[in-house]
Amino acid sequence: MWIVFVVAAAFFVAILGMGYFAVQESERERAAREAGEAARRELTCALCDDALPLRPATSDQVVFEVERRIDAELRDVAHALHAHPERLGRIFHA
Amino acid sequence: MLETLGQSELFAGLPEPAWRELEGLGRRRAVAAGETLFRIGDDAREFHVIRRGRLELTFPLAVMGETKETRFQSLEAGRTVAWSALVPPHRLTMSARASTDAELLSFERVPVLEHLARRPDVGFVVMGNLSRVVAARLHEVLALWLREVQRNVSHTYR
Repeated sequence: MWIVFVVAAAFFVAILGMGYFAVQESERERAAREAGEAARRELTCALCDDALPLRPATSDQVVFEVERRIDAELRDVAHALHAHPERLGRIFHA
Repeated sequence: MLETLGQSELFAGLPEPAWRELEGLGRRRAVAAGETLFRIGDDAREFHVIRRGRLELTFPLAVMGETKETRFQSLEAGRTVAWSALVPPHRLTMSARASTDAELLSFERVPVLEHLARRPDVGFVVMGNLSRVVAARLHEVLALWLREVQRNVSHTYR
């Protein structure tokens, strides 16, 4: 009788333990997935959504990157406007 | 370095006597590298033609809890700055700072507009040039904005 009780209790504890570890693992995976998504969002350019080579560490680096992107876009727009004004529609598509 | 005012984008196409007269309405102004010339939202009482050096048009960008002046465009000799002085409601739409030591020819709005009203032949040329300057800005900003909208749509609904 006692043996049956101990075995049943052991099973019960084992099932509880497995459930606990399964929930913990699933939580860990979800946290890792969310952290990965957040990191991916932070590593993309605010203007064009392209991946940035490095995460800018300071506000000055962010400003530098934004200015670089604006320079490139304006160069492209100015070139299209002056060299090929007949293709005005093209400048509206990156 | 701008040789004559007649070579500037705003006064191009004017005969020499006409731009000489306008030159008499301006005053030379030196700006040191790094100096802020005006700020976004200010009343535009005067406009400037760059004679020497470079100016940057900037806008405030909030980054990591700080507000940073961010360059939109760099302008060289011959370009017009603060043309909002000639266009109602006369409010500056960007800030400007000197990126090098610069020399400007600054014009107050009222005497120039009065002069152009007295000389409609000159006013016609100047306003035509001004339209080109404003249209160029419109095209640039419109292109940047439309590209940004397109990227957001492509990113959100892919």
